[in-house]
Amino acid sequence: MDIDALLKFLEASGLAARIRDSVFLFPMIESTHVIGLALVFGTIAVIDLRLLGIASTQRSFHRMASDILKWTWGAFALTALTGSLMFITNATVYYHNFFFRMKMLLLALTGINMLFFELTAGRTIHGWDRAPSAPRAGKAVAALSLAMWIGIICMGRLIGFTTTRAAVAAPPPAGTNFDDFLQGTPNDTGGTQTTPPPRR
Amino acid sequence: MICLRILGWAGMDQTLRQTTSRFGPWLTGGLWLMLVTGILMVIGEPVRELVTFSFWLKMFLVAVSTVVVTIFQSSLRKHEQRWEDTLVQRGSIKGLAIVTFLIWVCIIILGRLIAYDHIWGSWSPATKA
Repeated sequence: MDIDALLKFLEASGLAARIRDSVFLFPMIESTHVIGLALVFGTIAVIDLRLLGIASTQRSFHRMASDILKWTWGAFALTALTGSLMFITNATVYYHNFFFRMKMLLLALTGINMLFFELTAGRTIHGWDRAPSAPRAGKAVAALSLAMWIGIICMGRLIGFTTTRAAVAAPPPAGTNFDDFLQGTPNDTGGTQTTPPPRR
Repeated sequence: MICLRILGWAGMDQTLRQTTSRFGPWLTGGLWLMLVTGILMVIGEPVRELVTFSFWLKMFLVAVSTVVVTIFQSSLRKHEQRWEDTLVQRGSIKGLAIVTFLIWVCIIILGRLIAYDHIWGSWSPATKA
């Protein structure tokens, strides 16, 4: 099965149709995705700021990480689930969207970044656990992590601005009188559109 | 993080005072950042923001949450020892922490629902317009 057939198969599934056709489901799934992302970014920022020596400098890194990371992984699972549910409703459009691809690329890079931490500063935690900041490799990982997660949030927002019909609607025809819209009088000579409210 | 500390689910190696000192300034900074960017968005698209039920309900909950957090921080400053020893273990305080967390969950949901205000039906001014 090629990728386009797989995307069409996902879009045609009963679950995708149910989410698409419901007035409430998509907004609720999207809201849950945002809540999950806020928790993921918030908890990761706490860890990264500790590695950089900017905040929580008195706390043991190991103790803090084991305290917080379980919430990060729980929230990440929530975002992955809700993100997948949103993806299947319009799989082909999302798959070909530049910002969606950038978001996925950044997500993969954060995974590699985390792996790099485990192979470097993560191996010597006992040596700097109580120090105000991590060794240079740990600081670099933390700075990159913060930058990439901010990028992921920005890309996520841009997906919403570039995958709606409203966002790609053609400009109004020449000669459209915008005063008609402001006065609430429909212009029946053309130019008005009945696109659904944009998802953004 | 402050709610999780009150609930005893995270940060138990820190006192309540240490936890609020660590996260309080970031909380205040984040609120100011949201206020500034929120005002800019309202200026940019006043009709989209102001003529929605979701926006006004969100603003109401932000106000409620800000009052709750301000009272909590003030009380903690005045009665620090009492908070550490007894208040933080009270069921009612833990309940209030859960309610505060849920208010913020609702604020996030309502923020997203500004773009989908039609789901409120006749409650949405945008539907009537």
